[in-house]
Amino acid sequence: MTNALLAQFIPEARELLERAGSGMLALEKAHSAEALDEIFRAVHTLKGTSGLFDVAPLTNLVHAAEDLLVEVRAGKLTLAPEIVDGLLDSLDLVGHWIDVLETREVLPDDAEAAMAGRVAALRGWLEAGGPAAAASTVERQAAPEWLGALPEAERQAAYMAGAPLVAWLYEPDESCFFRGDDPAHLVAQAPGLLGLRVLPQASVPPLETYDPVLSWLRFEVLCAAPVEAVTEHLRYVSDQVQLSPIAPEDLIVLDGPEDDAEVFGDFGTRARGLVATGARADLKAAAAALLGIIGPATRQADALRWIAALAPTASADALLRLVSAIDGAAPGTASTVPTAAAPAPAAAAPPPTGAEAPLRQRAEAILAAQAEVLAVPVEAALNAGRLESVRTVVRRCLRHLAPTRAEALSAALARSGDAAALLAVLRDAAEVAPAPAVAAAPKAAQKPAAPPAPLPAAPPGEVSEGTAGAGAGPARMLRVDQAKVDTLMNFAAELVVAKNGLAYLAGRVEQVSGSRQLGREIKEQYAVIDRIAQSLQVGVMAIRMMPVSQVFQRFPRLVRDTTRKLGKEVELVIQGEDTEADKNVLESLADPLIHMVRNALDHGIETPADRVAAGKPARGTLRLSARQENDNVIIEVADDGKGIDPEVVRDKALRVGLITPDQAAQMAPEEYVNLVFAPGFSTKEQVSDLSGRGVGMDVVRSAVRKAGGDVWLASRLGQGSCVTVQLPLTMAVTRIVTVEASGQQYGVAMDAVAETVKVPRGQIHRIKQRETFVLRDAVIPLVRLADSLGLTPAAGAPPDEEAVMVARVGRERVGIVVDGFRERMEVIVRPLDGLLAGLVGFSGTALLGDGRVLLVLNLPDLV
Amino acid sequence: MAFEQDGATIVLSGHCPVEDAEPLLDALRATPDATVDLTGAGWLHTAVLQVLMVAGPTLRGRPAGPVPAACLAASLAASSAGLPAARAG
Repeated sequence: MTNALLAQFIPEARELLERAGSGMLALEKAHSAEALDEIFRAVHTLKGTSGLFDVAPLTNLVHAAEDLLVEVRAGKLTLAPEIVDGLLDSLDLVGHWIDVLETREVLPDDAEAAMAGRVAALRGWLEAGGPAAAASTVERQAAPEWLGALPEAERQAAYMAGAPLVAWLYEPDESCFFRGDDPAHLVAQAPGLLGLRVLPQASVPPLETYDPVLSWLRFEVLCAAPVEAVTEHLRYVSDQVQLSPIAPEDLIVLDGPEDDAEVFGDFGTRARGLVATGARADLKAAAAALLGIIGPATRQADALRWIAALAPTASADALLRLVSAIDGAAPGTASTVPTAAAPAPAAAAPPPTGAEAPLRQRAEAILAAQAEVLAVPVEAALNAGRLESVRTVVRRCLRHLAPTRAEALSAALARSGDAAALLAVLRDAAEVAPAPAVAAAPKAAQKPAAPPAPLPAAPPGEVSEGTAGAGAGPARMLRVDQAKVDTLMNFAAELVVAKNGLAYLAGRVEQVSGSRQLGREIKEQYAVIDRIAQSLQVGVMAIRMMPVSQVFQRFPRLVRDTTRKLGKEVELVIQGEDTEADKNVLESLADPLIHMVRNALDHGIETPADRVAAGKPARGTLRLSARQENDNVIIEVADDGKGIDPEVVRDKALRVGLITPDQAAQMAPEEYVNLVFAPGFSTKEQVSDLSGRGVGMDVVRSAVRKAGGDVWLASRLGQGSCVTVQLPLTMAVTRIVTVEASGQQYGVAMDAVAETVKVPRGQIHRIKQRETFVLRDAVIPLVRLADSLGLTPAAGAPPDEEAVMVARVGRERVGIVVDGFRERMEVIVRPLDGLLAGLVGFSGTALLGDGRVLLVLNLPDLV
Repeated sequence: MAFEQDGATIVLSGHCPVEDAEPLLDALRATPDATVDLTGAGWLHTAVLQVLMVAGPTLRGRPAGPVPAACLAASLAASSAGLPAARAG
């Protein structure tokens, strides 16, 4: 990112959004002034900071949210769930924009339209709650261009229906049928449906190659309903809809060639008279008569039809504008009727002259402040961003300035990147009008929200100070790019590995020079370095450790939204959110967890009615808990829903051939339910007859296993289910033991090794094709590592005793026969990439202290 | 299955879900001069409407409601103009 200021803004904005979001949920549960203040501060700070960048839609949206919060804080408005929904959606939208800003440094193209819809919704509540309407602060956006293409009769009907009117464009995405959407039905059910046009989104393939399961329609819809109602109706497809609240006047779109016949001049004079005297019936008749004698396709004919239709009801004002459109008189008013060819922004009235002078003064003050900002010396990286924000502010001030001054400034602006030139021009005028500038400058800085003027940009130093003051909690944090910590981590881990080389060295010194003394000294030195390296590694690891709450905090929102959608009542209980784990581990956990929580809500917990019928409290409980066990984090997702019927799972597994009847007979009921993790178990039809638990559970398991963990499920029919995920605390450094097979060395992660035993050959029995042995009354299957890897067995007579490594694979124990055990060590396991990426059987490679490369086995692949 | 074929006449009746789109498409491909009878049809799924728009068969009767009407009107416009027009606006 080239703009260093923006780079700082993005993580800060995310944090603020998060704070506002969690505050909102807390507020919905219990009204607390503290939570409200917290949200308000976050939103306010976000608004202020965003003003530094060219992100007007973002600022406007946050501004609207802030206004709403002001009313709530003043007690004039209660936070209904719908309002919280609206605010949360708006914050989500802002979050999305921040993501886009991070990658592209500009807002997405549709930001303006998306903002208008949201702002209208927020303002709608504001007006409904307290008449202190902020309508004047919202600039009405231009009506969508396609409006004119709707049938005229429908537009006239809508005009007569009057406000509120919403025009929306719905382009269902191609695969919407797969999600069960029926776009036409959705449109047909829209509140206050008045006008509609259906078009193909792009050219449609011919009948021969047509694919009936893809959607390709585009709906242009006009509704006479409040924007909130329409938004609510379209909430599940909001990403495919562009919503714009419109005024009735927007519907009058005149189209067609201009006809400059004299007769229109006569009509204009007459019509004005008729409007003035209120003779509406005569006006209608006159319009109808004129329509009879002119061509129907002209712009004038269009306007006449409108007059004929509206004459009995419309306001004199609107009629006069139409009349002007016909005879072309009074250009000032005529221009407010947009034509299809050039839809002029509807409300672009110049500011009244009375307000001009103070505005100009204020603008000059802002410019003076910008000059000061530019004059402060700063490092080059920040300079680009600062210059950009100053340029934005200056650009916004231009229209309030004296014409000559504006000209000079825009000339300076045109030379992008030239800070000195801009500063010179800024200073230039500061001298021309020094008095107001000096007087107003501090005032402008104190009141960043002076309404009509664009937001003044405070110097960067001041902004961060303000943020720190506004933000709660101790601010003694360092925000560091994760990549830097990762680099540090890699070096620490390499140090750990490199120090292993000293142990080899000590051994070699003893062998080669025969000096045991020197060898011992090296070993002592090794111990010191080892200790320091360990501390360093622990320290860096601690930086990367994050509380599980980082992942958990999204669940209150998810649970709330999902249950509202499903009509269920669920209490979310979160335990052990302070448990810490490596950031990468937590990130790998996030998606599987969302999946599991959705499953539990969707299919585990019953509807309130069913629960009461089953003798359970109507409100279900979903428990998310985290705890640390040895080197693992254990995460549990438990619900008290209807549980899973092991018989049903078994039957299904038999039917799809996952297990044989023999295997089924040997399995315990608790093993059946874990079959839902098997790939191929879940198919679409499973959703209904198996309470949908199977859907995607194999994806969950593969994600968790990829991160070096495991997942299993326990369920009691009628009482609920519990999915347990076990993950290693950290993935950076792995403790391994090296084993030998056919003269080659391989690494095995220590976590997987339960114990090592020597088994006399006589105790190895063959059951069918499998070798087994008995360990403490348990039968353990044996796998020969050399065989699984396809190596030629070591020459010579087989040993009397086999070295067996008993390893945990999933929750099973397996004995792995190796030729011998070597040493234990800590290594960084690097994943296989490039040509090796597809290699089965290995989880990665590690560099040994003596420079050799060690292949680390992935046991589940081999067994 | 909510549709029956009798020679060149395809009769859609009742609610036609998304699953009907494919068999209907097959039927219309096999019978280029088919007449589709909508007099007994209830709600037509968007996918079914799309098939009717693309194939542009002769229609008998019109389904109730402004949305199917708007879709089928668009189909007539498209067939008279040769190929469906690219996006308007």
